[in-house]
Amino acid sequence: MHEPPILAVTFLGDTTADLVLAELHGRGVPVVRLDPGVDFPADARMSAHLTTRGLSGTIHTPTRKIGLDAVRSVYWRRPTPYGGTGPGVTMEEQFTNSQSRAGYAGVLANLPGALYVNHPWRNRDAGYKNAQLAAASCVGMYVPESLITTDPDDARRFITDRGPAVYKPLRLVHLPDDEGKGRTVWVRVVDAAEVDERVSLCPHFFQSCVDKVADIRLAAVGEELFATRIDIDGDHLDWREDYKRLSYNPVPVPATVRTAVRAFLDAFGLTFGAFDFALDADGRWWFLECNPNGQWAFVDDPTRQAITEALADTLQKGRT
Amino acid sequence: MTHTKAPWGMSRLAPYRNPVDVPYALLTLDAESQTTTYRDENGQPLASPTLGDITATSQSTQTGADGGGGKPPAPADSDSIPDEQSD
Repeated sequence: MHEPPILAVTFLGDTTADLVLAELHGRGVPVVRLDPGVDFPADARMSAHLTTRGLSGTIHTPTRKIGLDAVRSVYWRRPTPYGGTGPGVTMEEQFTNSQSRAGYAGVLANLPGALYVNHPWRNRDAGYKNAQLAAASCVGMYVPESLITTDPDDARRFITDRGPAVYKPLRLVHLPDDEGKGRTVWVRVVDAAEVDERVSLCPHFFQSCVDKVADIRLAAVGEELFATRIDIDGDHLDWREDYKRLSYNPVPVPATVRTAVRAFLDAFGLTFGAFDFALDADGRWWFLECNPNGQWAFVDDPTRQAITEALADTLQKGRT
Repeated sequence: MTHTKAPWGMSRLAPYRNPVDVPYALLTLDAESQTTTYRDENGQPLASPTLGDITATSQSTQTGADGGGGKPPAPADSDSIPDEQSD
């Protein structure tokens, strides 16, 4: 196989990435899967050679060998994090982990000529709610008013003046309870009287609640947009709470939203983005957030297949 | 830095509904396609998890992070997190 390969950086069991890898494999496109935080050092090894002519060298995975200067595209999904370097970590681990993060991630994020879907550092930059909301406003989307605060009085004032309002964590939270059962923070309306001094312990994010009739999840893959209307059979605000009570229907994307989404992706240097919108009774699409590395395979079958193919097309094409 | 007090936002933590039971015992890499093979406790291949188990909130079906387990999903921004200190 002389065709330049596609490098998929993700954990084993990433079912969403598997869809794309299976599609590429079906097309005869060579793919190399790597989970650097797990595969190195036992099952994989790397030598990256830097000269005046640039980068060369190889990564050996348990099943493949890939030339660092011959990668067509990188599908950067969800690699297992490298270990920590903080308290409680041995010095050997601290050394290994910090050098691994800098060395593997540094090389993998700088492969010459490769298209990144998406580049991990672009994902990081786009992952901040305040940056997203500012960019969304800038490109002309409807954006609900928001507050990031450590001041309980400001929080109460915002909820009273701009309410109904919701509280959302600034980053996805997954914290098990005492029995090990997974918990997260669901988006729910918050009453001003619920807020107390504990808001001062870290930044808290409050947002005006859009009076919505439905939610829309939009997956953007390069120039192609796939929007799905999500209707909830229930009275909870956050559709992610219960997938068994959702219905999915593909919807066309209004031209103004299409243009704004393109501009948003360009602003952050993203090829892919999973956008959440709230649809109001007047048909307006309110920007809630963009997950630059978001999930997309939970929607209806034809849309899932279309997104799979669009991602495969993009990765196969590489940088043009 | 030690925080003994719980920030207000933690009072909003709630369990996942309808947690998904993950049926596999072992994951292996299919060398040919580079996709995941799901295996039972005897190492026999299983059908891949149904796609309905893949959610937006969490990580596909890995170790029940989909809704049931205590293990956190692989973060969408892993390895983009800078080291605590730069030089």
